[in-house]
Amino acid sequence: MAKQPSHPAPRDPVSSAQALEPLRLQAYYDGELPEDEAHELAAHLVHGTDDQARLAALQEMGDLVRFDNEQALELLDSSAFTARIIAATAALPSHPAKAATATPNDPGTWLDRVMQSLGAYFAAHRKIFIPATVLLAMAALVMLPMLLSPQAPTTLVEKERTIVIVEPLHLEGGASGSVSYTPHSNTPVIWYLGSQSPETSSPTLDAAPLRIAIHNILQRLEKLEKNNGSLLNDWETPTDSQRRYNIDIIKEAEWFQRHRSQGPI
Amino acid sequence: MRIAISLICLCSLLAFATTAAANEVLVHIQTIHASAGEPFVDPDIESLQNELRSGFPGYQVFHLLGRHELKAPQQSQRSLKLPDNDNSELVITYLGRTPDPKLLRLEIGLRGKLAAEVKASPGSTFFQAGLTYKDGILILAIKATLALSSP
Repeated sequence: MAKQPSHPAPRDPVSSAQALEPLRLQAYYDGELPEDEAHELAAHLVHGTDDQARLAALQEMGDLVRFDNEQALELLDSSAFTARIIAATAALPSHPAKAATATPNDPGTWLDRVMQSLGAYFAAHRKIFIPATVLLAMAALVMLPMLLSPQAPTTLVEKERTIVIVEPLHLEGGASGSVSYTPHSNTPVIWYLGSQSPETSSPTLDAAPLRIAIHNILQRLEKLEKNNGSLLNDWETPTDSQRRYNIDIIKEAEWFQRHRSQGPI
Repeated sequence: MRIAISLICLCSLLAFATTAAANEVLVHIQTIHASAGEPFVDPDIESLQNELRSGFPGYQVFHLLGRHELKAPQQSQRSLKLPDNDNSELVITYLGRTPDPKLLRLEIGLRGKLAAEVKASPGSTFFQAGLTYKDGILILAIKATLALSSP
């Protein structure tokens, strides 16, 4: 690019009869001469018509070369090159003047550069990213229902509050049974109390479990007495398990009453 | 494409394994001999001593006879031969889970004698007792937990 000095020319110290050397004229045209020398040459050119013509020719040649380069650049597909240049520029530290004005919230500078960098990166690696995205989408489709499903616990959580509910017993072959609960923790005990043998009509009862059943009945009757006749007085509201608890006591009492008359235990 | 197919197969296998694990329970059974005598609780069942002493007042001596684990898939019956005088058989069937609260539904029975459905929170202990064994009775401490892996 020609960089001709624009300031006014001083008095001509160069002889107008002497033609300028070509290299010196070229250096002047390119703006490469020191300031003093450039002033001298500018003053000489005002009067030297031959040198003015040579300078004009230099300018014309420069324009032709520039035009030719621009034509060649228009024909060149430089999209990938441009993307790489943009990416490389974004990676460089900001110019101090730009950095002083650019802020993280300025969409025209910081955000644009980041987006351009990302775009360039994804465009350059699209052969990897497209299949990877498809795979991730498929994995998400498979995994999401599992993660959202309430029926897929993979870890065991030991609850502090333990719940055990025993439904009514099904007895077979003349067997006798009952359910009682330990006094402190209310842990259920499913009792097998013996079987009625098929040959005899009288039941074969095991004395030891019966003693425990009787003990439990007595213990709860004492509790009943303390609570003025109501088994529910020590609870605010009866729950299903508490109702079952009371029903079990009544069943135990009935069972004991029914078998007591059939012989000594 | 091969990677995609492999990933889908892996995810499907994982989903199947998780579902299978949720559909079976591990039932822990401790067989305990209870008898009368000088008060004694086997150190191996010390964690149960409060329940044993208060729930079985006719007995003072509690010895651990053995520990057993039964992995029970849903709707499949598992059984355990017991050492009692009648050679009884404990039968356990995992029936699934209740919707809310999440309780494990188990059918616990002594073959040919009795059976009961028990709904228990995972890790809760309950007892079966009354079978005669030597000079006392047999107590079964039963605890069910969700199985963490498929067989």
